[in-house]
Amino acid sequence: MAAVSATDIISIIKSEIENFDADFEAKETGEVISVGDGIARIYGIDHAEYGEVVVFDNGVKAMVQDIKEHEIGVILFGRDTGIHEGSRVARTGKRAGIPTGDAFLGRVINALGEPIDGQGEIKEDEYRPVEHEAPGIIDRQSVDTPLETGILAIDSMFPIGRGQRELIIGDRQTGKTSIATDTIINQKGKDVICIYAAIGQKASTVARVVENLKKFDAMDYSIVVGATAADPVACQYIAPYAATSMAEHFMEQGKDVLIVYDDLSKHAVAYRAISLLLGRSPGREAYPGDVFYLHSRLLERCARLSDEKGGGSITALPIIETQDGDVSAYIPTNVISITDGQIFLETNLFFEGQRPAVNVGLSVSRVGGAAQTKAMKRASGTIRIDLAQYRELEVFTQFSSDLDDTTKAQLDHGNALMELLKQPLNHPLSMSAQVITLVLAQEKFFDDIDRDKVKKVQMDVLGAVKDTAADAVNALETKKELTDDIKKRIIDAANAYKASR
Amino acid sequence: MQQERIHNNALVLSQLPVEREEVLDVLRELDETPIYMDLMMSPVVYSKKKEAIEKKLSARAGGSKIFTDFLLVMIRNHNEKLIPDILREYVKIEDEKAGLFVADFFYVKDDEIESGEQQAKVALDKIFPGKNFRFCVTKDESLIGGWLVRCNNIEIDRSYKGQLKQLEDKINGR
Repeated sequence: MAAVSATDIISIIKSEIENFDADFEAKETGEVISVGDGIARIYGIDHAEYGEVVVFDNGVKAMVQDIKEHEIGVILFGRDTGIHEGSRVARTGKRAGIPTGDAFLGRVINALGEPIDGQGEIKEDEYRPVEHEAPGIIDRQSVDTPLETGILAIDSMFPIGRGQRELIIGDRQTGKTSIATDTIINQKGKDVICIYAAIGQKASTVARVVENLKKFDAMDYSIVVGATAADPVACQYIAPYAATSMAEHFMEQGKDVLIVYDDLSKHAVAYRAISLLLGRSPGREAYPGDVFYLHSRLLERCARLSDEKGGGSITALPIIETQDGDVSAYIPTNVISITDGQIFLETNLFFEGQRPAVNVGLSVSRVGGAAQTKAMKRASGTIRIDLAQYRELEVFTQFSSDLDDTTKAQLDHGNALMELLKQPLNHPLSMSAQVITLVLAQEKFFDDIDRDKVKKVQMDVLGAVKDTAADAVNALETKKELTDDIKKRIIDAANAYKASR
Repeated sequence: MQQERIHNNALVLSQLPVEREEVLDVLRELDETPIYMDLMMSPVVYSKKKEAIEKKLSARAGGSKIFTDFLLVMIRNHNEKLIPDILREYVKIEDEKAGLFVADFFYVKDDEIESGEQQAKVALDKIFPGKNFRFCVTKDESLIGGWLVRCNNIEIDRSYKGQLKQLEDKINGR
């Protein structure tokens, strides 16, 4: 980019001054009574509305969150330095909003829509309020189009559809963000716009996510909305709503959007801080009474619109961090009851090397097979039942010398399935690769292979099938149906590979 | 909340049979006797002593018994620091009852006071039609030029400082 000369800057500023038209409209003002901890109390501005933006005389904006008879409580979207008792505050008459548009793709912005990636200003298409009503019942249609994560464990057993809300829940460092970012990476070429909302995260974590998305060319179709732990709690509070407003801009154009909220536990904590500072009564675990509504009104905005409304969708992957695997805590149970399923990640599985550490027993997708292609539905077959039986039998592995052949065979099959479900980071599998893997797994192709060699054999046989039955693989990708002929071609190609080993 | 307390006490005073003039006289005495407020705000001066001082002040200003009793009640309720604000709020309430709005007018150049007040009155007439205005005029050189008027939480800013702030916001894209 060519450097801008001082002459250019001066001429731009001169032009701004010449075209400047001052606004002499009367505005309602008040004065600050108290300020601190990210909130301020204001006397005056009696006609301010809930959710309206007010501006301090030092330029800092705030949002009205508490209206009492003689004072207004606001949450600050900036630093409170420079604001003191007696500072003047003016109403803007506008609700809190965010600029949105196609130019935001590939950019990293904060909760107010301002770019923070150092790549210059962004030209917005429109300005949307951060709080918006969810689509009505009539405006929706059922979820029947898959959103492939590229992760075999999820796409086979807990398929996600476009317009669904699927919760990713687990303790710290169990791979929650990795599942979300792998899903974003897998949307390349699938005409899905991705939005990653980082709430209360470390700035280094967000930087790592952005770096990862850039590495796999995923930033081209993604937007990152960041409200890190260093940002004011007000920004952390509105970040997911602002990100959803951006998603709605694309959804209303008929496009499919994937939005990741990472994570809503920190969002609830930020809202708790605001509520306590505003003097609202604390409830269970000191959260305010409307903490359920905080997340329900957010997640209800994610939907699949009817064809009359454009047919667009927002698929949500909210993330919740549990403490010590406790899914019965307040916030996790709230969000579980709102979403259309959950993927539960277990620390024990993670440290045993089972990554993604999906607990197959506790995870569910309430949309289920409606969000799977016919090929995947047929291929995934009885995998959940096989794994359930395997878990029941696993306790007997220590007595393997005393087991009958049928039980040993079931254990071998279960071991092979568990190995196949392991998947390295940033390596999503295509739908056809997943279907081929599952078909061969159902045929017990991997059962007699040493456990530590299963992954290598899987990759090798996928390559072999693609080489020798390329037309069958193409038919699978395009028609998304697993016919008997395609299945036979896959099995024959795999057996030929096995014979040649 | 303090503003609420001031307003409520001023409302009570406005409903007592107290003359506006005696309140203004006491306010004048308070302005001319700064040591009085120092005594009222001092934590080491006993309440009874404060009451005695208040009686003397009120007598000197020619205040009626009911007004003096009101001030004593303020002291007993530990509102002595708020007495000047309560009395000013009372004057504001009385003015509003009489259809008179008090507007704070800030100016920079002495020769622009009259024209500025005229313009301010025209602007305020549009927002508060049919009301009379009494301007409390204050010089404020930080405005650089022009004028600014505030009335009942409505602010009309025609100062150079306000226009420069708008220009700054426009250039910065705020």
